Amino acid sequence: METLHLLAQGFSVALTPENLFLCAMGVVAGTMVGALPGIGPAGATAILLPATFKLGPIGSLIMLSGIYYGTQYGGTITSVLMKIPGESASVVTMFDGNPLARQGKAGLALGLAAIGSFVGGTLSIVGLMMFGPPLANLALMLGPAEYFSLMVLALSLVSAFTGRSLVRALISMVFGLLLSLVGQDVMTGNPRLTFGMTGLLDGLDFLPVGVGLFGLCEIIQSFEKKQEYEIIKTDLGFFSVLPSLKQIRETFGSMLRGTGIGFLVGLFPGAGPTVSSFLAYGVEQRISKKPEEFGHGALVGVAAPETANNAATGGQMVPMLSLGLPSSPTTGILLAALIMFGLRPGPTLFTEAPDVVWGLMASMYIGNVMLVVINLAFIPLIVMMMDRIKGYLAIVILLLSVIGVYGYRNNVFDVWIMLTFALVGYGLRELDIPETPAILGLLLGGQAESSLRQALVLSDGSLSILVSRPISATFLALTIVSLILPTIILRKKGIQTSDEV
Amino acid sequence: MSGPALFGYRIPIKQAVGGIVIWALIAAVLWSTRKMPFYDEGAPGPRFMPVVLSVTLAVLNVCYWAESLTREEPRTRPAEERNLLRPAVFLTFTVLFVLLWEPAGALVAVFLCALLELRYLERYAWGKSVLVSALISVATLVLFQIVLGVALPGGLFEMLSYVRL
Repeated sequence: METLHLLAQGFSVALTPENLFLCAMGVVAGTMVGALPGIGPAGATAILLPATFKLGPIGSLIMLSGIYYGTQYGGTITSVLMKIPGESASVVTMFDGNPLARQGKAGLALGLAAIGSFVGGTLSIVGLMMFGPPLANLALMLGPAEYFSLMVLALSLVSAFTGRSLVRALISMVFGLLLSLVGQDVMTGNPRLTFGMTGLLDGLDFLPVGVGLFGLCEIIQSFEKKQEYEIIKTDLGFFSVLPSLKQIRETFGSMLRGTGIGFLVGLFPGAGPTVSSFLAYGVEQRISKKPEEFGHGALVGVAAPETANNAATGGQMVPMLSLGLPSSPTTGILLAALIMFGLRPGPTLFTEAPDVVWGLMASMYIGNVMLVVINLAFIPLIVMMMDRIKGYLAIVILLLSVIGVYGYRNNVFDVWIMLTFALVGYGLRELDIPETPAILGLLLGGQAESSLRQALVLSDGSLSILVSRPISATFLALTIVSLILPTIILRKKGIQTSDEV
Repeated sequence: MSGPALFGYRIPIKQAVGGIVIWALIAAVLWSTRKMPFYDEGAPGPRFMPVVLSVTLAVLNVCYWAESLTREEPRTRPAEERNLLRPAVFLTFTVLFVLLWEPAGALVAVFLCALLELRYLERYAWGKSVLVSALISVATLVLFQIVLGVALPGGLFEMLSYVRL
């Protein structure tokens, strides 16, 4: 009952004309970003984060989250019509979506994907409402030792699920943790790893690093090859996009399974929309009575992964809001937004800023309704706009990046930091070292260090506190399992994990 | 392209260079924190985390080189399909943009950068490039400075930096 009361309060926040407008802006921008190959949800949210400063925490989070879950819808369009996934979570949709388009059923594929995304997105918010507050209450009981071990577990999970090599993911994570040490020491206030640069005394801010690694770097890389798009010409009118009741009945089971898989996978740091979409597709293929149809235009092959990747976005919000643990670069950027507005992400957020948390959840319901309408009714318009703006994309992204990063503190040094990290990101990609663990290491490093040092002060410098406390010891045991198990499974099955989470 | 050989195996040149960069990073971290206390009054000092992380990174770097000896490196795009000149040109334009940002002002820097990018990378005609660049620079000023209130550098057009909604 209290949950419903809080949700009603959230709707009163989300339904103000200003927030409705921001939600609409976010989901439209997300759909476009998802549809345009070359920039992913992390890059888009990082670039637009500074532009949302003036909106306050609620408006900013509503818009940025709208971009995040909007990208999961938009990525389908290019997967189906061009056989180019707009972002990594839409790769699987391509397997059956594009064959459907070649059979003249592109509208049906896009319609089913939109409905599946709506089901997954909406049900996952119900899950977020159910699991978020109790988890936050549990997290209030964690001391510094437990909190440090929990962060180690989160970082190890992200590393285990990211990239094709655990060693490289761990290198990236340690690199990110080292970046978080730049600036003044958390306890003594002495400058550390600044190499004499006064601009680094305040530490490396997340914003220029994030925009450089995810936004600008992607654009630099996209210049390596001029992409030629071939859009399948097909009828995308409202009635051709709307699936029949029989088709919805046929795929509804897969949508529900996709929701369950997506939400559960999203709860774990590192395993995000991409992993969940592959998993949902695999499950459907395994239980299908006609597995031979997969890859040739199976309807459930579109519905299940699309539902799963949207459900995962809701799942990823649970650890971010209740524990302050981002599980992907995009949730990391949302977390950074909270920090920039002076809010403390984690267990106390539900009590200290209920209007932000519940307003955000309510806006996600509204945003999903907006998205299903946009994706059913305006697909031809989106396709046309994508075609028109792609030539100006690089310069627009560059401008948004530079102005956003400069405008944050009116400091051109931040812009140089952004450029440096765009090059670092390019180098990491060349070396097949994933950048996701680095950005999460940067975000969590400061908190992890202060938790560890607080714990060691409490134990008179003895590291045994980390293993003598049961919860902390459990987290550390799970860390070891999380690092060993995927390696064993991958060796056994020869599976490759995804590059993106 | 292969790099140095070890027991008959070869580390790819990229991974060899990557490993050297990581060693340099470790050395820089250890050197720059050399005067800080590792433990201070029974609790970890400012050097504690840098040393712990550097040692971890060193171990991982050894594993990285070992892995590179045997692992087949994935290639996202075949070499013949890659054009490294275009990213380099874009980067040069971007550096020029940032260098001009404060001395010349946002309006001029945006115009020049957009013009160069649209003309030389997107291959639009001169007329269209000039027109679109002018539109982009004016739109940038209106949207960010006048509507959103972001203080953009005035540079050559200092008087424009006082224009607000």
